[in-house]
Amino acid sequence: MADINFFIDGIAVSAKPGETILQVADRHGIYIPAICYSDRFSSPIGSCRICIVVIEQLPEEDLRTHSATHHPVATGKCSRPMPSCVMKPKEGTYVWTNTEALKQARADIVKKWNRYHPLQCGVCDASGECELQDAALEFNITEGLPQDFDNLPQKTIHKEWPIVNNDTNLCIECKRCVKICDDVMGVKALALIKKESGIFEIDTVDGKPLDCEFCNQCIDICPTGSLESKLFMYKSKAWEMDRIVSSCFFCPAGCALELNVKDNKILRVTNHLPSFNDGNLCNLGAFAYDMNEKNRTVSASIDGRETDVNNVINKTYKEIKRIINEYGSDSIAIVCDSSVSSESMVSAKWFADLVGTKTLIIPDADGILKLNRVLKKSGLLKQSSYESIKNSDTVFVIGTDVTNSVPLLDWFIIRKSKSKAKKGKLIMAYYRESKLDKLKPISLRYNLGSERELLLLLILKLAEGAENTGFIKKIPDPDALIKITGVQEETIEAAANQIKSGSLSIMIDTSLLERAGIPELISDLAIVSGNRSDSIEFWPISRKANIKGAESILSGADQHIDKALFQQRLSEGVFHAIIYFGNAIERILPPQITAKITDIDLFVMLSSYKTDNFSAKKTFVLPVATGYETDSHYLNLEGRLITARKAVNAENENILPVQSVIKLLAEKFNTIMAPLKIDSGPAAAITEKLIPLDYEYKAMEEMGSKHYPYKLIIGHDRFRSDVSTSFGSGPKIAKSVGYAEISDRLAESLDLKSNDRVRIISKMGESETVLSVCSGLPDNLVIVPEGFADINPLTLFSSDDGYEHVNIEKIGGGK
Amino acid sequence: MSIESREMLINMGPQHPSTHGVLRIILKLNGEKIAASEPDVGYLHRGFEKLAENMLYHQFIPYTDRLDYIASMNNNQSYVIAVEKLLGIEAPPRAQAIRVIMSELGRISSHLVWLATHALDIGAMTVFLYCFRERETIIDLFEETSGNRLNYNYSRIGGVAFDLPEGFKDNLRKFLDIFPEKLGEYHRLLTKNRIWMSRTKGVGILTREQAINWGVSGPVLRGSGVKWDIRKAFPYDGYENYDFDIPTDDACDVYGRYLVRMEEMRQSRRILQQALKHLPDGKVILEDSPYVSPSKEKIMTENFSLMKHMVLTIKGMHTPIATLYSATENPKGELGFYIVADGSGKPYKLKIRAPSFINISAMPTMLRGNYLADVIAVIGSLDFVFGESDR
Ligand code: SF4
Ligand code: SF4
Ligand code: SF4
Ligand code: FES
Repeated sequence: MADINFFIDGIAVSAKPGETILQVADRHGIYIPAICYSDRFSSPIGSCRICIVVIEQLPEEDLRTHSATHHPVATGKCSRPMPSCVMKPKEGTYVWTNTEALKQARADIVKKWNRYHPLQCGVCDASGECELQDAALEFNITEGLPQDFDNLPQKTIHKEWPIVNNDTNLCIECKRCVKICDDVMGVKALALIKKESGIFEIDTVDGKPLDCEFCNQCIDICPTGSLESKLFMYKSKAWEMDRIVSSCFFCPAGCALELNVKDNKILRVTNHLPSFNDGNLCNLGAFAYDMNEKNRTVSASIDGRETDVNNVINKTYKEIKRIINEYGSDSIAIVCDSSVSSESMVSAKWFADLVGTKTLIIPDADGILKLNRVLKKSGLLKQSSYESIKNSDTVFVIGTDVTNSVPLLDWFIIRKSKSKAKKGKLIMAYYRESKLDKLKPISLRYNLGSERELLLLLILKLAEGAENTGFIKKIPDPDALIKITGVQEETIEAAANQIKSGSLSIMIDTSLLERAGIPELISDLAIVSGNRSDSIEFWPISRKANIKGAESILSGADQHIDKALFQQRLSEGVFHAIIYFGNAIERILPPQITAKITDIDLFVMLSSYKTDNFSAKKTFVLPVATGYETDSHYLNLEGRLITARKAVNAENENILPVQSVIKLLAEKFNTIMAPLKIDSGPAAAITEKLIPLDYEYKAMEEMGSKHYPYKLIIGHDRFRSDVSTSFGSGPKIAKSVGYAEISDRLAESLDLKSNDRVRIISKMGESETVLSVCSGLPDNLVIVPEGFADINPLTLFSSDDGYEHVNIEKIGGGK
Repeated sequence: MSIESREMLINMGPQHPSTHGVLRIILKLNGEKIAASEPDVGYLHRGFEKLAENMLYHQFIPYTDRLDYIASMNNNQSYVIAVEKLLGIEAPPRAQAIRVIMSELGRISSHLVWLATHALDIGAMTVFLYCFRERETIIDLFEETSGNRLNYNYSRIGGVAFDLPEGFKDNLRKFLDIFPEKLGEYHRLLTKNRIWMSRTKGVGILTREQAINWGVSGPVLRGSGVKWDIRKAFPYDGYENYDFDIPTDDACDVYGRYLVRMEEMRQSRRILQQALKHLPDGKVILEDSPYVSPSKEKIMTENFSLMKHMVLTIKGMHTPIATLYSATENPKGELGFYIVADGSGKPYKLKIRAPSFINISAMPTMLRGNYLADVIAVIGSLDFVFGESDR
């Protein structure tokens, strides 16, 4: 389609196909006021009408003699006012944005909003950034509409909602909140609802107290003080805070955000920056900001006794020296969490080199490294980019809910489905109902544990013919596979057809990748889809913020060993010292491993958070700064280096950036630490020839038994609790208890109800928590989240299979 | 005994009572004669121009008080007029007349301080006492009006902060009635005084041409015979409606500048009389303007007024994207503001043309060939203030 040429306020402009008048004006630097419009939405709302313009269509002959100074009032042939955020321009028309009549009309709109607006700017949180305030000045409102004091409308103030305070008296009914919740977050919690009295109010769709993702987006985008965060209310005026541009480090998306800081405290998080996340944030980015203040390690300690940092560093040096002398350098293991900054990881690796150990473990990176090795062999290894998700014809999600791991990807997928072009289709292979099901994807709801079978089925469908499937040894019987997966054959057929329809983005859980055969099957699936390496993207999905950093550091390292080998060596008594970079090790490694750590000579922890009940023979703790207290870097899923900028000072001078601690330690070894070098991920190696990888199918054995009839899995729900973020108040208010979820049918058969206390028993032990009954779950599952104080599902696990056989029983018969 | 004759360098100031603040002059003396001199300014630099970039337009008004703090009323007026021109608004007629009254009173008050200190420097103590007596009356008038005695912060963008207090007109009239007699008193003490004349006549010559080339302004310029007054050339606040003369003197020396200022006080009184007679009624600040906060009463009762007030005090007004230079005739000379506005509530750049600074720069020209003791007389005749020069 050709560009459309027209005039705005006499200036010749041209519109790209599909652009609205407002967008064209914006691109040409012509100002048109707009309130309900946001370029974060897939389509305009068109509710506020502040953006009205008049359009003049001149007859052909006038057009030729037209001069740019011509004024619309003179012709009197203008259209009635039209919202420019909705209207598309027509060739050769004259758009006028600021005639006297329009000015008057806009002032009248603002007057209507103001009519019964409370006189409370002095205490209103929005004051100073309120668009209604701005409009009063911009349109210079000098009089109000008459008020009927006998019938003042009393609107609802929803104080009962968690986190979000909704004072509908302040609302101007622009519906930005409704739109962002539906269109961008895909939640659809809010609506503008007609009350009995005939007044419209923003309320929840179901009229119950708000129970949503608590992502802050509606609060952030509300032009007035109508929606406010209860965590922030009355704490500060907008103009008193410094806005520090930083990045979120709670998941590997690495969204840009602004930390609003006053008096060395982060008071809230906003985001109006142009960035790849489009200003969107999830509940962790938006509300976990005070995790910086809670449960912190604030001093160095030895076996629980507080002492001076230098003392601990000295003792650490001496102990390490002794252990190296007695048992050799390989008796030292360096363990690093994959949610810590690249600074920590590089320091960890550097320190491993310094002491000369061959053992560096970043547990959660195993899956991604396995996939990389496989993709390298098959010729598909490359770095994916966010941009390509938007363009891919198919997004194939397997074994992950995306939403609760990397919400950014969830928004990309939602945006794809909401956009006019409706480009691309989603295939959702997951064992339970998920948020993305709302988008009506091709849903492959398989039986938990049958991922290999599902992938095999898809490969067989796509390969069509034995000669193409030579790389699969012993082709299994498809009917048997279908039975194991529990998915309808037609659905698999539909999915296979979709997969071969064009470019492909595969999103797969990293813990799934740790399982034997899965990386190979994923690679094979990509190859038989008929794509070439430039039209396939792999997204290993993990909730660990710096999984890509780990990938980058470990891909060049020869010291790395995986979890299983680590466990084996640990039980062989190879290790005498463990240096740990990260928080709460007992929540990251399974208890079989952590139980062994308690027996070793020396355990040194460089942590920001307190860890309870964890110690070795000698336990040294060195406090380190969080990402809010020092500049730190992370590699996001795109392999892009993002900076989490320092926003506040640490509570005391004991708390140092991790690299400073290692530097001090290095000085004891008479070594000067080299400046840290942090690179982005491994380079893309686009190969012409793709090689399918051999795979031999072995049916898995069902291990369930009478005693443990259900499968326990670790679930992450929409609140995405994590070790560190569970200290933040926002996520805690949204969800304070680690509920165990079971399906409604299972609950009925066991005579259990929501909020019953239950005991979950595996062969490893038992754990208690509160029950929550949900629909849309398979009947043999018990799902327990990570990151809550009351229950740690890891303690129930005996293997790495991703699930564990358990039983569930009610505690104390009654309630 | 041999006498060695060579030039000597002498530092005068910055801590010297007759340098009128913190001026340091490096004097190169040949015997008692000044071979060359170099004024060294900047001891009172407070970075006003940079500060201005970080505050809303109206927040800068009190800073202008601290420019020429002997004539704060005039500075306030000069600055708000610059901003008003930027915004394309004009204060209501009554506010303009009040600002004229204040600035002419400011001129007399400033000239009184000049005369007092100038005479004192040259040794005439009595004049000092008399001048400060009359200045006190003016300061009382200012205090009644604005609540302050030195830094008034009285003008506002679009008008003035408050209307004139009750009894102000009478008090002013009383002052105007007695002032000619007082002025005569000063004349009798100095104008024909032989010591005064010999200390000031032929001293500190700045020719008409030099004056123009150095860009000096105000009484210093007019004392070199140039008939130039911004109140006449580019009238503001309704100066075109007042009948007054521009005194000049062709002597180009300290005495000439003395005569000019003495006459200016008389002319100011003329203006004041007319202003009193024709003082219009009405508002003293614009109402319903997008640049002016609504009245307190409105803010407390109307939501849109409260909203406007909040935005005006938090983000400031929307200015046009423009650059502008505006100047007024202050007691010391041309006080100008050069504003670069970027559309936001804060100036992108605000440059102040301070008359004192430019007048000081002509000093070496005036001093060359004069005696060391004449420095004091020349300084007095230049009448500068460092709040303004150093900014
Ligand atoms: S919503 Fe805006 S206009 Fe209303 S009280 Fe709050 S700051 Fe004032
Ligand atoms: S917090 Fe997020 S999910 Fe909840 S209503 Fe607002 S936009 Fe919707
Ligand atoms: S609550 Fe805020 S965003 Fe939602 S309609 Fe009202 S003013 Fe608009
Ligand atoms: S911005 Fe166009 S109708 Fe609101």
